[in-house]
Amino acid sequence: MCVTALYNVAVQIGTNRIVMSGSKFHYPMGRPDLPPEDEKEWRLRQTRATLAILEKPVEGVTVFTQQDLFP
Amino acid sequence: MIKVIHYMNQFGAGFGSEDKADMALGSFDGPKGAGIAFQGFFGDRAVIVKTIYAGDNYANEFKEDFLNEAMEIIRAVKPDVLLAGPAFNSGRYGLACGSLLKRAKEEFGVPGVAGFGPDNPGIAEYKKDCYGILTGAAANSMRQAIAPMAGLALKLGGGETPGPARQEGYIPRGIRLNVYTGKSSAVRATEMALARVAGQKWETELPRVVYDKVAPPAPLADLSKATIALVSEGGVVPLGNPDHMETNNSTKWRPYALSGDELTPGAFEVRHGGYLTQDVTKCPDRMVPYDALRTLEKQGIIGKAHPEMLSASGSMANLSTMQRLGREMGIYLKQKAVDAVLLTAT
Repeated sequence: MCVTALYNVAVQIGTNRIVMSGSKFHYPMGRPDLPPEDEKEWRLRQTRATLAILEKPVEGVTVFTQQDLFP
Repeated sequence: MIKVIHYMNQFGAGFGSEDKADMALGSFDGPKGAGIAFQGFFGDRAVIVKTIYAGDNYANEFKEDFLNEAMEIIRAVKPDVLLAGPAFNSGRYGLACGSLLKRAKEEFGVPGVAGFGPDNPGIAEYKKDCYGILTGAAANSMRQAIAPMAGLALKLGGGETPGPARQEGYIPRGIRLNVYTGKSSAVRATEMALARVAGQKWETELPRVVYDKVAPPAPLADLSKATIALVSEGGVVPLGNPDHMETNNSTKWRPYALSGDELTPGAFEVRHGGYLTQDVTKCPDRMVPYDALRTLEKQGIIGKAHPEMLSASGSMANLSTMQRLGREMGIYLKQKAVDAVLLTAT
């Protein structure tokens, strides 16, 4: 599974489980704008929700948005 | 007279099958097996002076010895061109053919022609380094492989540079050659568009890359029992970049051991030519979220955080090289009993 801000590239090459980064290209798992403790908490929630996707079946190339991660 | 050396595996050279796959490299004078058919095609235009053979396991497991021994022979014989195989769909055989032709090209500038079946991994690995002729899947298509392989070898051995793949019939090498046409790109594009609208035949100058379709792996049955590894194309490497990892056009990946509960700031640097790296340099977990993975391990949400990251730079990446890196990483992670990968990318 892949987490990326450039999800269209991941789609193009045929990645099956794609998670759209909740942040930016330069730091897909970071939020430098937040205080360090809040950033750590944010990353933990992102990582946990992302890994939960590994338990979901997919038929082919599938993009999971932040809304899919946190409905 | 064009001088040719022909390479075959233990089966092609008539020694035996899988039971002889460990046999070391050796050689005969003159043609043997498929080489006799090649020689028949050549007539008196070229002569197969030597046949080199080796077992498929030997050629792959002792690749350096295999290549060095083969180069000794090539150095002594000074052939004008090499033939290898045809390997059909035999993977190890195809890889041996490709690696030998690649090394001979690099060391002596001797060109080579190999025969690959449609599913041979030698194509993806070596199509740039030799001229591959597409054969059938198995040895019963030998007869059809002889003329195209031998014909191209004659051309190369005679010092000619073959034309584009679609004219010459070899496997496209992914190399674009500049050609003068006398017409500007605007004129050519307009002509193509008009031909297309008129339903006439036209041909693109820039074929689109075709990507592999990979069937999605089954979901994890239980995340809380799974070992998860972190892989990243973000170029995070230990400080000092001990393996000289490339910032662009990566040709390699490395596993780096992780300890503690996070990627210690100051212990890593970023080698990547495609993004502003300062924020990841300050806090590498922003690219490789090991801190979160460790916490999830402690909380029992995942079974285990694999204590390594696999790192490379994906900047200006070459597709076929990245396919190789991916294959190698996959094999490595399977050996480490990793169940799933979280790959973070820019």
